[in-house]
Amino acid sequence: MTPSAAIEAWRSLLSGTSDRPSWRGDTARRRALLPVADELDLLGVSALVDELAGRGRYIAALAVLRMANATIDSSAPLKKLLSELLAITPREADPSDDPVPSEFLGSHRPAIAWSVLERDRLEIVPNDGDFGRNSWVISTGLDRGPSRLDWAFLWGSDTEVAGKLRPAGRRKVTRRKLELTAAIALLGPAGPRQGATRFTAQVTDLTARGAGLVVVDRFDRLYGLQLVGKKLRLSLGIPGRTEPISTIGEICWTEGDETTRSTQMGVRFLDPPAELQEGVAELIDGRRDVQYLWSLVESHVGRRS
Amino acid sequence: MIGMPEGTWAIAGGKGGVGKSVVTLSAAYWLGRLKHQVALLDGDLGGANLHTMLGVRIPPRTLDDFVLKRVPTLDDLLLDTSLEGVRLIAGGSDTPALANPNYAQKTRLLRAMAAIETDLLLVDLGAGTSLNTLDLFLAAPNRVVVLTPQPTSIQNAYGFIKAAFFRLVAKELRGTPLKNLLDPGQFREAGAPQTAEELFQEIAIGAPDAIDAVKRAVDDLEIHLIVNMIRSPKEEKVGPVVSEVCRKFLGVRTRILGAIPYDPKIERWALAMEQGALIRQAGDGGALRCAYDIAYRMADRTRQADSERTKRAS
Repeated sequence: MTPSAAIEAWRSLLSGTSDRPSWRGDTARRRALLPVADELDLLGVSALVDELAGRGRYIAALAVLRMANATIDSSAPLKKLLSELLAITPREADPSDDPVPSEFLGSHRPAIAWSVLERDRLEIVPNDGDFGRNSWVISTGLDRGPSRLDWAFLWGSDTEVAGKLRPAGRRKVTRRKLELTAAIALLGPAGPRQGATRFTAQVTDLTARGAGLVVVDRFDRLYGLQLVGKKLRLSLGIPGRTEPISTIGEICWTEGDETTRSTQMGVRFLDPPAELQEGVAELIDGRRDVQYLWSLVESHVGRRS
Repeated sequence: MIGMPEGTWAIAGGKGGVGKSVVTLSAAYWLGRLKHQVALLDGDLGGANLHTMLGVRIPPRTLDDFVLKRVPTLDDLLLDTSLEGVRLIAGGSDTPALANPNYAQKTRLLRAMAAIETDLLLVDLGAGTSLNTLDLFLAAPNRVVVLTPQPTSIQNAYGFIKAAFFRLVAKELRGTPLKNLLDPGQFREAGAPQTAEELFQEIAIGAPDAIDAVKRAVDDLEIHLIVNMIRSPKEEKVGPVVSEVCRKFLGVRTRILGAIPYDPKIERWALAMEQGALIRQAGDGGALRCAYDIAYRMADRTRQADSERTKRAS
């Protein structure tokens, strides 16, 4: 297979029109897709990555980078290219650094960027069904399996970032669905619209530091927007409080579901006011009973000083 | 679990200033008058002062002596008081270890409490929900929470009962996959269980072997409420209100042991050193009359429990 043919094969593989890739254990096919190192068309890789990233398919772009990286024994030229693409300066790997612009990878960008550059530490394998259709799994360890805490798994090619940073992978306590809605204003220009984009979201998770939201985007207002890293204002109505509580947050990750036309997103509160922390505490810190206690005190005893 | 005698009563309040110690002293006074042998134990491990209220400025022996193993039993610490039939084990004040006893010290203390020779042992616990206070509270077969109609007291009393409930459940979850379920960090997450029912659902799935023991422990938990400093008939309803919330959210049974009206004399007594003597002089009116009713119920319940235990044993 020629380098350009390999890139075309990648393009086809990642275009979403091909069959679901099945690489796990299929070393022969993987090798067939990897061109000879010296002949790799770096400009072709670059163009494909640019194209994919330009369509917001960052994981697919990363997959290409990973595959290209894996083909070259002496990877200095490719690393230079990767550095340019990722807009980072090559240096000693330090996962605590955060060299990638936030527009690119979201809050987990250092881990993913370094994973791309450290080929021995990264594997991309297709999901066999454990994580849903069309999902890709990126492992940062040698062992594979969802029980490994150091697994980073990436949901589908529409997912912007994921991995062990997704809170669901770390929870020990099962969360229940919250019956809360929040009014959201996406701040700053987003796509063709210059003003704030407003929508209502269902709050699925809530702590004093952040929230998980689901937005049903019936009018495709969020479709194609680069959401990760965007700021939003969230106004949350908490039961028992007459006024909604407002705070500014930053979108850390998103995940789309074309079937339901919904977008799930994780939001980190930037400077949550004290009243939000109190409100959240009232809501989640077992305060349903205290609200009931006060309602009984008010109705039976008749005062609450 | 160390089996404590049926006459052991732990009196807590969650909040300072609700009159725990005065209620304890008043009940002890009447229990003594009813010809029971009463031992008072100052269970405020970090801030003992029951002896001061009985007019003892510097107790010759305190819990410190037991913790430091100067005496082998708590009986060796019993001090006579000016109240008929009432003896006192004064709390320590100069041993930091007593404020935060380790597991071995706490177990030794509980065993020694179980061995005190007396008809009734009243343990006056400190304010707050420290684990040691909760453990002493839960170790006693009879548990009393004193509260007043003040909102802060209502909230703290309920908070204390809730903390005791969680402490009880957490003990049953030791060694199970859900041993960390009630850790503060976990429990404050969104969606964490807020009611006993939700908690039991999670335990039934996450630690099915423990669910029966947890439910049994909660079923056995009964808490008595005393509403103190009532200024109007409406305020007496604070007790049933707290009971209802405990039942609905925690599945914990509560009984109203009594209600005590606000009595300005008590506040004046609290400023005096010789409170025991003042209680004696108070006669049978007002707050003290209600304390008599409480003491009578305490004695009656102890008698019933003793009788049931004897029947079970035979």
